[in-house]
Amino acid sequence: MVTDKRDEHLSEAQLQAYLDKDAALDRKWADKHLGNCPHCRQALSTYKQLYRGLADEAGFMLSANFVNSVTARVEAEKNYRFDHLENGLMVLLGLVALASILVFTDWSSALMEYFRSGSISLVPSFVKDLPLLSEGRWHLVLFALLALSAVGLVDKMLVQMRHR
Amino acid sequence: MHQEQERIEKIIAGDMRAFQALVEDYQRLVCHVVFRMVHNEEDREEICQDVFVKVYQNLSKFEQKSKLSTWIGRIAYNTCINYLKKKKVPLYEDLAPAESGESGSSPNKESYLDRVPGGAKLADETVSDKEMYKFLHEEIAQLPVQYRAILTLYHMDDLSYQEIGEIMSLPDGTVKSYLFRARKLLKERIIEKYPAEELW
Repeated sequence: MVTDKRDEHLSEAQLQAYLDKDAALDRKWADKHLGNCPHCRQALSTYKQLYRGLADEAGFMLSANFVNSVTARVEAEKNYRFDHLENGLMVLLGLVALASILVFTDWSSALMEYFRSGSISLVPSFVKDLPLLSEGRWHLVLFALLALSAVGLVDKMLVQMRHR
Repeated sequence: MHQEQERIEKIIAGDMRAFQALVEDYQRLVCHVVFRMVHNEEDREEICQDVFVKVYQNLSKFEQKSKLSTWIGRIAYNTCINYLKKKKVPLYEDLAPAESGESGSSPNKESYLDRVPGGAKLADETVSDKEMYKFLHEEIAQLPVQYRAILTLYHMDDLSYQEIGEIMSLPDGTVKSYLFRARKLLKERIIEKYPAEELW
């Protein structure tokens, strides 16, 4: 790009290369030429002024509380994400719980028995009527309790992450 | 580099002070890119905020194949490009030919000069840097967006052709060529506006 035509004025490319300190330009020759050539000195001076103008920062100002505004937005976005994560987890667990209940219990016959007897307040007898418990499958109850504990733990972790 | 890595790890671990320090260090770069590419003053600061929110959210994906400044610069550049696309601003215009003649036949040039009260300055008036810079900023604002970004990254942030190329996904040669053309055009506009003797 920076050609070296020694018998002519510095080209636009050479003038820019001179100010960019481009190693491809023969700087000694350029200095010598600039020393003898007012035309090129003037062109270089215009470029120098242009370069100063290009580096001028006037008008490039952010507000004084920019950093705090960004931090506040990051926190808000983080909370928004956690809210969604937490809500999604809750919905998922709700569905799992519903599916488990439907799989492991015989709700239809248990409810029918209740409506027949009309004694909805008798919770212990309701529990006793559930096929799951009456059949002695306590390990499933234990599993459910462990699952609930795991949910509690995950929720706690989410809360901790949010605070951090 | 090691310090940068340490800072990134702190931020990923949730250290907001480390993040604030990062924002302080790179807000100048982001501000330059956004302010030069986006003309709407009301949207600029919000876009700068968007850039840093994206930086925070994606920092764990930063692979350190490039400098952090280049990576943040790319996020800033892409955020501006997406904003301009939404606003339907033409992105890939080319420069009006620099050899458009002394009469200033470029439409941009004419539109600017038409707005200048009193037209060209008298020969015996000298031009203050402030005035010339104001004129220059207005001329830069007329350039296509890619040229504006390259001029800013090179002259205000001292980035190399390679770094600018990484930010804008352009080959180094294209960056160099765009830079040359933009500066040549701006120099000609300055000379047209202010006859040579005014600049001395």
